[in-house]
Amino acid sequence: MVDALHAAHRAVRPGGTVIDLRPDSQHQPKVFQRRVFRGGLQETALAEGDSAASDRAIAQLIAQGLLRPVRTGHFWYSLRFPDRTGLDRWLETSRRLRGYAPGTRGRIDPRAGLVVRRSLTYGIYERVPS
Amino acid sequence: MADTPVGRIGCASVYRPADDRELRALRAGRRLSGAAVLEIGCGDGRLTFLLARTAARVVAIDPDAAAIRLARRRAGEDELTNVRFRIAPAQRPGVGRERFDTAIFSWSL
Repeated sequence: MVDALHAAHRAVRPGGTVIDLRPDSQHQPKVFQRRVFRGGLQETALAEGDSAASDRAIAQLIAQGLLRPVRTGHFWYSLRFPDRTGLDRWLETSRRLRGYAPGTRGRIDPRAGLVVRRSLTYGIYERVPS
Repeated sequence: MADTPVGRIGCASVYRPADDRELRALRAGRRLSGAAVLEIGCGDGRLTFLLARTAARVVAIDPDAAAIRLARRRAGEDELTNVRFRIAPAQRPGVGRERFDTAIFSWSL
């Protein structure tokens, strides 16, 4: 990750911008049905580790004086599923998510549609002239 | 709140925002207008095509050859002339001395 950031730093002109956009490990996905919160989804330990490593890599380049933070934040977007089977299938194929938070699956009507609200985190950094 | 319909199973980008809300959240319009952009981890080009609407040129890289093939095909169908796709890892984007105004790690850091 640090290598990738160094490569991006080299490719961007001094004063240019590096943007990091990725799923947000600080805000876990939320499951809604008929607009009622039913519970959450959980990330794999690997995904959580990757997020922490990405954060450390960014911090390292800032500490090295190569990047300067401009703005960070997060936002939510929605994914619709026709029923619980559709969500189950997504979870089976997801590399980031390992399953439902405790109690969540049992609170879902298996035949009704679902909305998963997912957060993305971003950081905008200025490429410091070197 | 607009929802993203889940339709084309098998294409990972269906699980990502379907519209330009990422760019709106980044308030990236002015930053990207007329800019040279390097997108790192472009996948099938979902975000790339949105970037190409405002950027002067976009070089989009991803190590997944199948995803890049799909992105190139779509770019050809849309007759985009300001986008170049490359099969490359983030650590070695292979852009030589080319310089960009903005680099975006698109779900890839």
